[in-house]
Amino acid sequence: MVVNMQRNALGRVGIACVVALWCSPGMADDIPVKAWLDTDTVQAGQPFHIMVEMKGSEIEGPELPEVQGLLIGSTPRIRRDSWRISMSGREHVKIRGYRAQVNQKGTVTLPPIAVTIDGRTFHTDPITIEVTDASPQPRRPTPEELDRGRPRTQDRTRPYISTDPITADDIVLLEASIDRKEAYLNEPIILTLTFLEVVDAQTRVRRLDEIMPTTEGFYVFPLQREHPHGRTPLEYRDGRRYRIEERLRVLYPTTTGELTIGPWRYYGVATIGSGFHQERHHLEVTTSPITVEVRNLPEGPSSFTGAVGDFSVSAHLGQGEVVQGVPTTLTLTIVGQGNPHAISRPRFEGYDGFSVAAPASDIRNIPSPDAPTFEKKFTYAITPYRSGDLTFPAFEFCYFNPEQGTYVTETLGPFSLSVRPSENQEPRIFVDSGRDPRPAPVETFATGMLPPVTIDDDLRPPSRGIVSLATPFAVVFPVLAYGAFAIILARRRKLALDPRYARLHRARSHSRKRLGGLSSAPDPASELYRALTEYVADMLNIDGAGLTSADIERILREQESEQWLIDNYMRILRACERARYAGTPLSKEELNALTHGARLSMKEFENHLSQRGKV
Amino acid sequence: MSAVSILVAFVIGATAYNEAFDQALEHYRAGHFAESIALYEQLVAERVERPEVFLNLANAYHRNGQYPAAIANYERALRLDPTMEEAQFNLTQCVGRTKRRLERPENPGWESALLFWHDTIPRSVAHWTSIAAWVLLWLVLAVRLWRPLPYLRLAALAALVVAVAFGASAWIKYSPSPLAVARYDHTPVRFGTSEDDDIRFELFEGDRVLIDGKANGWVRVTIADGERGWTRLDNLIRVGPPYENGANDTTPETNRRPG
Repeated sequence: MVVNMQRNALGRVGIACVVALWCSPGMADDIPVKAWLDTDTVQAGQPFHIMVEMKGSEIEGPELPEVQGLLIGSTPRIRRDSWRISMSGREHVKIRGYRAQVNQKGTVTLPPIAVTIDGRTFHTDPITIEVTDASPQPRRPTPEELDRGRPRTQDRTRPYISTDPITADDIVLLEASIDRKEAYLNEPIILTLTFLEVVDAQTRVRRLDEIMPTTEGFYVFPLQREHPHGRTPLEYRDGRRYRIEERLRVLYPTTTGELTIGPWRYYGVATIGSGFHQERHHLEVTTSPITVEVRNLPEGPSSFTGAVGDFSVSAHLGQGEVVQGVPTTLTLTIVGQGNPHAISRPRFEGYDGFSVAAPASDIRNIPSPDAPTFEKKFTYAITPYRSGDLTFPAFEFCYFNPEQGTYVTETLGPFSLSVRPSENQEPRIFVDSGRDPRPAPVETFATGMLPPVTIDDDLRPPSRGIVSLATPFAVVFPVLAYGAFAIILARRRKLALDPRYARLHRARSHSRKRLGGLSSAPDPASELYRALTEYVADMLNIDGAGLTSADIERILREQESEQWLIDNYMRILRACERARYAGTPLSKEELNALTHGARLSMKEFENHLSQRGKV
Repeated sequence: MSAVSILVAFVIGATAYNEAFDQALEHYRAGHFAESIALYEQLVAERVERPEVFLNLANAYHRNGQYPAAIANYERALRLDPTMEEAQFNLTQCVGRTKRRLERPENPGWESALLFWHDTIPRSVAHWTSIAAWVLLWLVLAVRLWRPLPYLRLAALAALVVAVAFGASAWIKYSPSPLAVARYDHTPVRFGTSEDDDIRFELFEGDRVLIDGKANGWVRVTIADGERGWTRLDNLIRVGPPYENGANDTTPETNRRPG
């Protein structure tokens, strides 16, 4: 019996142990979250994974921290989920792996990662990451060599080509980097934005949106580079082939302190596969923001022009003969890297004997594979007051060289001129831009803007009325004037070249003129007679000298005139003949009646000829 | 109304506008950007359409943080005077402060190819150059009609070419491609003119677009990379003319990310 009792007790203890062991994962494990790296060694520029394990019923997170120098992908590339039963119930074990990368050798600390499990927040232990230099990679054959299946060189190394199916995280990669984290005010910083899109026959990508990094506090200048240094448009990463697009920007910080280049975001849709086996993925890729520490320039000389960078400066005055009172040109040329808009003109002093006008400036970009290079020219009009051998004094151009950390002052000149006397001895008035041609302080450093402008003339809305009609008038009037001129000219030519036309054209005016002057004529009857006969002669282009009334009657009949017209004409002509030969002048009433009849007859005769097509 | 009184009204009007301009500038320099904006907008409403007015108005919006209105006014200044360095520089700065720093959509290719001087001369220069060449053309033709001298035909042809070219340039400047600036972030641009249509892409504050179609309060817009779609006209500030007030605000359309 005692043995039985002992055996029973042992059995119960054993069962209890089994149960305890079975429940132990839920009881003995006090740390529901932990993080580790999937590699023992981290090399600069090589990706690795940050693994996070979380256990609980309801898991929220993890919340990935932002670490300077450590790029962490926002979506996990590795996902493992499992569930088990424990004393506390059904437990979810969630493992997530996030792709990460460090680009520079050194030590990076991954701070604790927060995870909310069942309403409580837990943190992982911090991880210290020692980053070593990247070991030399074996040469990768070109894509053409791979397509032929045989590299050209002795090195038979083939790139690693992944056979794993493509995931959404492989499709588009973004990389943003700058060439310096600390800079002086207006010192150029090159921002390199690298866009990689996977090249795969089964994958199609459509870009929906792209938000470029914000660059508040910088003056931004695009830098064109056709092919990146040493890079081909195609590259392999982790066994995937990517098309690479590199975009370069030059940033000139315009304020001091800590400036941030915002994240670069890409939104797109990718389709993997074809036919019935398609998968559609929404892509959301982003880079981490980049901070830059901008230092103020040290105290500098008064001749500092605002130029920051490395420059070569030259000046050239006058070319050819210089005449007193006639402007010649001083050209200051600045070539280098740096913000050209921040460079102001140098100060001139002691230039007695010259008038100096405010300069014109011109900026020209010089293509360069490394950094933006520009040429800025200031062109001054300088007018000598006197003749003879003159000297334009030397002047200084001061700039700040950030590599050396010092101001550099270049002295240009002095410039010798041989000025010929002017032939014009009249006193001249010279307009000088002022003893100190330095412009008023610009807002460029403070706000990155040029200041507002003033207006010297009167402001008013656009005028209506006469002025607004100027344009249509100016358009229409020349055409009308030309048309009128052409008509007049054509008529004059016809009158000069065509006697018949000329006589016809003048017939009416001549007759009208004669009839109008009858009352004051010494012999009205003769004038009336001549007016009628010459009118017929002009209209028919015949010789009018010596025409009698019988001739007129014959002519009228030949023209098939109406009988009453012939009768009218004869009556008037015979009355004139009687008055001439009888010596009895026509009375005033008779003259008026005959004149009126003559006008009517002439008009009717013209109408008759017109109907017959003779005029 | 006598000629003297017309002249007096003309001068007084001009003085009042100049006073308003100077007052606006004083407000700007004192940092009172809202007051400065109000005065400049008043000048624009009075049709005082000068590039200096638009530049200063744009600067005031710029300093006040209203980048879309600033960009629209810089564009207005440059339309009147493409050589204005202050407007070019400050526009670049302002666009650099927007999220996407989107380029201005390009004009039609034929415009840039044929009218290569177009963007380097102010509108008034193109206008009066074409008028002068037109008048010269007819004068030369009249002289040729009177005296057919050698080279007059060539001179007439040259005058005709200049008149047509600058006339086309002036015509385009007076009726430029309708440019507009997005007022808000996440402005949806859809496949059609309905709120139910899918979103094709989004515009962000300060993005410049070309308008090439209108329908029922919607406009079809094109951005620099050629993407095109429909959005509500209220979401944009038109560069104009007509010059709408950039400070006028309307309730933005509901924003949501595409996809």
